[in-house]
Amino acid sequence: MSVRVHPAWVIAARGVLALVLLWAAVPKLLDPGAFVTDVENYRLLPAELAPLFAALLPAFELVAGLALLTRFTQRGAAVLAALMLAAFAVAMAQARMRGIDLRCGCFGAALEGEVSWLTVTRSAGLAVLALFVVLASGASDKRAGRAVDSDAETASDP
Amino acid sequence: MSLLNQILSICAASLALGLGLLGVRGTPRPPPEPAGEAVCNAPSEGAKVADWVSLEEAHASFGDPQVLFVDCRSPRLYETGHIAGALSLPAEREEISAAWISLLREARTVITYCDAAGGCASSVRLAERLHAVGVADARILTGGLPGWLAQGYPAESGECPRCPEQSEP
Repeated sequence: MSVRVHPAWVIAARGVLALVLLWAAVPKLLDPGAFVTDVENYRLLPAELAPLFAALLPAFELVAGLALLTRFTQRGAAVLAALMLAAFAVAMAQARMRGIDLRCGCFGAALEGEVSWLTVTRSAGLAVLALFVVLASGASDKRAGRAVDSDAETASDP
Repeated sequence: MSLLNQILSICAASLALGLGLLGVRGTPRPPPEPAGEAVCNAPSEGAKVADWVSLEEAHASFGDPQVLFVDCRSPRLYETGHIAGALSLPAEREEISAAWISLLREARTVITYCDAAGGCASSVRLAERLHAVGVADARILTGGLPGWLAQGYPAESGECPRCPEQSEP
C-alpha cells in the first residue's frame, strides 16, 4: 500500500517528525536521571528496567530523528517513529484510564506538561503522520525505481 | 536499502549509541527525593503557592471538623478507596461550583491528596485552584494516599455523601 502525494508534503512531514524526535531526545540525553523518574511514574515497566529504557529510548529518538532527514533511511525511520509514537500514545492513555496523574516526560523537564487526552491525541496524530511518511515515501521510492528501470531500458535499446 | 535493512541499521545505531552512553555515564538514577517529601515532592515547574503537610500532621488533625480532606482523583478511584471522610473533587474538573467553594471556605484547613504519582501533580493543581477561589489554607498531603495507607491510617470506600454534587472530571 502506498500514497501518492506531492513530494513537498512528505518533506514537510519528515521535517516535523525529525524536529519533534530531536526535540524530545536532547533533554532526556542531557538529564537521564529525571527521565528515569518519568518512566517509573508510568508504572508499565519493572523498576529495574526503567533506567535501561530511559537510557535507550532517547538514543532511538535521536537516531530516528536524524535518519528521517536522509533519503536513504527516511522510510525505516518513519516506521520506527510511528511505532514509538503509537506506543507513547498507548502508555499515556493507559495512565489516564488508570487514574495515574503524571508528567508527560515527552520533552524533558523544561517543557513539561501533564499527561492529558490532548497529549495522547498529539502522540497518536504524530504516529499517523509517520505512517503517512512510510506510505508516501514508499510510493516515491517505487516511482524512482521505475524511473531507473526505464532509464536502463532506454540505455539498453539499440 | 530495503525497508528492513533501514530499520535494522537504525536500531543497531540506536543501541550502539544508547549502550555506549550507558557505558560512559553509567546507569541513570532518578534524582533523590527532597528530605521530608519522600514520596510526593513538589514538582519542579510552576510557582509554589500551597504548603505541604506531613502524614503525621495530617493524621493529627484527622477528625477535626474544621479540617477537610479532598481526594483529587477520579470519582471511580475515590469510590474504590479513600481517606475516611474525605470529599471527592477531581482536579481535572473544569469548574468548582459555588457550593463547593462555600463548603471549602468554611474549613480552617483543606488537605488535598492524590495517588502521589508525578510529584502529586493533581493535588498541587487543585490546591492552587482552591487558593485562587479564596480557600485560605489549602495544603498538599505529602506522600498522598499511598503514604496514608502505608501508615495504616483510616480509609474507607464508597460514594461521597457529603459532596455538594456528584463530581465528574
